[in-house]
Amino acid sequence: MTRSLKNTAPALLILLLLQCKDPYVSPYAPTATGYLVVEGYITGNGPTRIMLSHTIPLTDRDTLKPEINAQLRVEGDDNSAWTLVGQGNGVYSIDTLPLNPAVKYRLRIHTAGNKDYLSDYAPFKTTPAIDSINWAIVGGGIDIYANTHDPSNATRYYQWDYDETWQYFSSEVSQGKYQAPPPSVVSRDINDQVYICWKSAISTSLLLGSTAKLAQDVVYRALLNSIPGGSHRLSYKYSTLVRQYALTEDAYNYLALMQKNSQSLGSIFDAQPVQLKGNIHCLSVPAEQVIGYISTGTLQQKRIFIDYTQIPNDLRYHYLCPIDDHLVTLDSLDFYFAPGKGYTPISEHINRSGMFDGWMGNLTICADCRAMGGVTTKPSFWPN
Amino acid sequence: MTACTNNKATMFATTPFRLLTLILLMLTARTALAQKDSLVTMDMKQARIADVLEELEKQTGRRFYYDTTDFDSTRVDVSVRQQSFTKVLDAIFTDRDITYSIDQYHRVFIARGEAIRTDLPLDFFDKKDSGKVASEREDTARNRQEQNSSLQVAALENKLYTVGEKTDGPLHGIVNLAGYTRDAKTGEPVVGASIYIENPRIGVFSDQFGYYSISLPRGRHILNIQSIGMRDTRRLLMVYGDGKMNIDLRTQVMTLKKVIVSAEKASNVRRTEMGVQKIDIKTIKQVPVVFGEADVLRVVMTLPGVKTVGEASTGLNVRGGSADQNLVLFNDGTIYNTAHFFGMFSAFNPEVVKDVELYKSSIPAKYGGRLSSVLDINSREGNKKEITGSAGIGLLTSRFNIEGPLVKEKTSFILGGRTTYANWLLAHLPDQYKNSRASFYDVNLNISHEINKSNSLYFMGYLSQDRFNLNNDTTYGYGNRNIGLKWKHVFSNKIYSLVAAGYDRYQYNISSKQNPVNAYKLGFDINQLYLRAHFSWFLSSSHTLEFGVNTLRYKLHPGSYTPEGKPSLVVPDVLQTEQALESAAYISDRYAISSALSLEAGLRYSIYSYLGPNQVNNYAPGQPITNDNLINTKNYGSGAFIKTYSNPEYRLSARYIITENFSVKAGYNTQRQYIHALSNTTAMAPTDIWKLSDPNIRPQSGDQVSLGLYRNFKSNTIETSIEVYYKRIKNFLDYKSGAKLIMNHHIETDVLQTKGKAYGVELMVKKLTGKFNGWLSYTWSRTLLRQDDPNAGELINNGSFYPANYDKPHDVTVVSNYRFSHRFSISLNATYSTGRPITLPIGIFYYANSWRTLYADRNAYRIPDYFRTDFSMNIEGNHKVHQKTHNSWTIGVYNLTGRRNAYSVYYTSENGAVNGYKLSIFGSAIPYVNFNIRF
Repeated sequence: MTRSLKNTAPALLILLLLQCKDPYVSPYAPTATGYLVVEGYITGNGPTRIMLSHTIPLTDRDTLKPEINAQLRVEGDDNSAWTLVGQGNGVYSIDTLPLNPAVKYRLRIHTAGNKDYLSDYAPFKTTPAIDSINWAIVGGGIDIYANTHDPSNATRYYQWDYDETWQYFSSEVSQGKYQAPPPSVVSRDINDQVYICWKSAISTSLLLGSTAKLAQDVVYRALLNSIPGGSHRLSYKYSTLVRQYALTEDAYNYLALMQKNSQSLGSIFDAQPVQLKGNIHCLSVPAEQVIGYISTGTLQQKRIFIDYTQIPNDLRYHYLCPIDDHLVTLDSLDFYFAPGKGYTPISEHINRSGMFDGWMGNLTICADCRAMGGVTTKPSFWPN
Repeated sequence: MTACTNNKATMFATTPFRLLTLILLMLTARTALAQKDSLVTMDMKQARIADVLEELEKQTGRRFYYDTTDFDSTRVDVSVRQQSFTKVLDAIFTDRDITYSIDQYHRVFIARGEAIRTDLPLDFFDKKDSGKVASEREDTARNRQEQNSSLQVAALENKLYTVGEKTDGPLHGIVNLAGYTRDAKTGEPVVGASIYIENPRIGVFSDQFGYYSISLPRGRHILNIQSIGMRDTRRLLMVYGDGKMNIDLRTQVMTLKKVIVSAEKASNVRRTEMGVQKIDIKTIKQVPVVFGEADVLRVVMTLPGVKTVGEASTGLNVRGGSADQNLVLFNDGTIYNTAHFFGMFSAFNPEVVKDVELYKSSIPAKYGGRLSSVLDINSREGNKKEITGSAGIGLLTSRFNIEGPLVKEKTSFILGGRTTYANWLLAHLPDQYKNSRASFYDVNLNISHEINKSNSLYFMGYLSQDRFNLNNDTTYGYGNRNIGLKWKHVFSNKIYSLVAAGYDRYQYNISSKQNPVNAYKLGFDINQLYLRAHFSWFLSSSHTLEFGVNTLRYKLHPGSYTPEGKPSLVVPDVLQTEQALESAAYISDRYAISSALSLEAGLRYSIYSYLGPNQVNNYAPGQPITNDNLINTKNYGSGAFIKTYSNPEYRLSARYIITENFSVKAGYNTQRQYIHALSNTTAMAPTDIWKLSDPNIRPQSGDQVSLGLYRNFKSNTIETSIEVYYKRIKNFLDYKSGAKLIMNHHIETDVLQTKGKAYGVELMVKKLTGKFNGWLSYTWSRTLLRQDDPNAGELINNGSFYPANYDKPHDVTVVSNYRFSHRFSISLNATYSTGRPITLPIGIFYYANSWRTLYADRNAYRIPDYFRTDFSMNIEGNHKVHQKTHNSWTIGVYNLTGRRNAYSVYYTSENGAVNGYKLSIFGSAIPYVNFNIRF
């Protein structure tokens, strides 16, 4: 409820054309932190993936500092234990663990720097199935919701994340492919098409839900994602795979605070950001902060598809490409079509006298779907 | 040659001694002057009087005063040789029904009919003396008035008023004079008027009802009455015994060149209290504010020692106190939320407010229950003589008020209302906001009724409501409701009582219906019933006692969360109702030890009881209050006294006048507070909850010592002061990291009781009269909090002192106004302050597919400094008195330099990356225009 208040106030003020937001660069010297960050879900019905990294100064933008060469062990309070395998990039994983829902599990970490970390025992939470993922047209875009329920009223706290994949086309079909040396354009093989692409993305928001205040453990239309009208996702066919995790109350509170700290600031009535206290502790240096909260349980997932025919035309993605192709004569193929030159061959050009004299080309962004960030390989889950 | 109308007032000497001299002079005037004057020789036939007098002026050097229209048709023959001046006049005027009189300055007043009196009715002399001046005819009308009524309305300055029964005996001993000071035009009381005599120097101030009571030695006095905005006046008194006298004061008509010199007006030097600031609505209205809506609280914020966290907040932080530590009284009713429209406007209608008084250091013993300050906002009583009103239109708000007598001179009312029409603006927004709404209104009704001379009744009602929502999602509403009745009874000149009873309510609710399954309604309210009895006893000229009792019954509904609509699965959750009784008895004495040294000592004893029915959690003693340490829960029945706290509070202040316009003051006071606002937001949010002290949450307490120097310059037109203070706060409520404050059944586990200290220096230079007026204030202050008790739970910032949200060390404000003419003035404000503390991330980490911020210590950084200037022009319509309406315009620019002052800086995760922003509430210069009409 406080969250919507936060959204309300600034929105109104922006509209009064009074409020403004400028980029801010802190004049303060960066603080050295380097605390361990642990993220993962000890999963009972699928592979377990734990990622270790370190906090970095505010100024070191987007340079992930993974913790490699650590030793990770999942321990049950029934003395069961499994060791996770490092992937070399900070990710440690293990195939499906034979977890017992009656047992509590914890994570033990020994880092390459000889520091020991241990999480509290987390009770195993069985996640109920996702009833449905549905969507609706709201205010010029598409909102996607999750619905679920737990007949035993035991779950109460939920977290979701999702993957998105969408199929799209380039504006024009490229029949030719540039190759060198010597600079030439050859006919494109059907298996080498750059007309149809699939692009993927992952959720970047913490998505949490609670039914603690409700008589029944029912999640009705929990908002997961809002896709604005005209988004590239709404080109042809869109799909999202939603994963649902059950949380303990403490885990929920921890993530809710992280959510407030990182996603809900910027209004008049901001709650002040606070220090996070998770369930992982540094045994070697007890005062050291550790970021993250280890939970354990099963996870549930569900995939839906949205076809462009299901959404009104004005919400679909529309191409903005030059209609006219450009003739590239044979002597300037490398000037236009060489990688990085910005043009992609479309089709052979035959002049009035019936002679082949070059390739019609258009902007790569219009002719090669990969230029929009996708891949031409169809994902395995994609329907024919 | 001078032709003018006689101005009697200027003819009087100012001291009894000089008056006496004048009288003696008068008795012998004729002969004395005749001997002294040069002799006159003239020969004029059928001459106009004017020509004759001109010739006389040339020869004698005297000045004549007369009305030319009286004499233009008169022709005289004059033929004199070496005659005395008076003989010449006698010769000219005899048998023409023209009389003349001469005053001590040898000025000659000529009139048709009765002679103009150049002196006083002289009946203050012994009988035998007055016999000598029997030729001066008595003012019979005055005699009638004096005989008919013992309560005289003293309207004339040049008349001698008799107080008490006339006696022949020698006059000694002290008697008392009391009455009301009123505005002659509207009949409303004049508050804070200084009423004093010069010799011996005795002075008092009129109270909130305009009531004054002064002890005087028997005998003849000149009573001086001065009040800001009113014309200085005086009354000539012959005091024989106790008496009553009401004094009507006239509004000061602005004059362009006149400098008002006054001895008492600048009462800051003479008042015993320190740290008291009073601003009247006229000054408030001159100060430019955003949207041009005169704002009581914004002007209070320009005073030294008063800060706020930002532009979207009307929460005051007085001398390092939090916003909930101010007792905001609006005609005796407590206002819990002083903000309208996200804090852009304050809850008080400027058309109804009369003045505002802020006590930040010496808090009178009659007030209690808050640690930092008392902000006493008084509204006007309404015109007692005729129906008048005003209306105003601004960019976002409009207001209307009407006032007048219900029974002439006895009962008056004032009704004011304000509303906003911001919704039209919101309706022009893009589609997704089309259904947004934000509105507020407030209504005031005050009725004052004079039952008889010694009994008056006052009724006050106040209602405010705010409502806003965004696109039909969540609706927020909050409002104040206050109703009160006050009875004033005057027992005698020296003692009067005030009995007030009333009901205050603050409520808010939030509801959301967008998701039918989760649709809810959240409600919160505070209700309080109060009864206060107060006595003022003007014991003698050196002692004024104030004493009384008051009691306050709280009933809080700390939260109810209920389903909204049939499909909602929300389980109704209602927090236990909290009840408490806060009572206090107090006594204070203002003791004038000598004319220089004055002391005010007060004792207030407050008793607070947390009442049943309630369930109270008991925690293991000496352990942090957490769920794990819960021992048991105890049930208390209805009316049970669950926990009682009681404590004496001391209020001391002393003043020593070093020279006429230089004084030093010192003060010490202690305070207790039993109700606390809980907030984890920087600005006071409409969703803040209030919590009563209970067995687990102890009352807040604080004490403050302060010292000040006060010096006035240029005939008291410039006041300067410097005050230093040091303050300690105990059991200040702060929240734990990640505290849940709303709908928490065991809130004690989520809060911390911290210690605080605040200290600072406040400088002020103020000029409230003249063409150029305004003030300059500078404050240097610190406010630091500390939670270092490991047993209380979480240590904040490792147990070291950390700055409070509103700790802004440097703060300079200039408020100025220049009056070009009666009709045109300009105002300019400027303010600079250090940026407030803020918690900034110390690093970032990658979690849930996004970079996120890492926080550590609270308030370790600061936002950029704040600077703003505002400008406004006040244009009045013409000043003809007899026209149906008067109008005025205010045109101005808020934030003239367009500086984007930071309200906050924050970092947020967007599409996986962390971005930093500076949020400004007003990102540019904001012009405004306001139209006001009075009728």
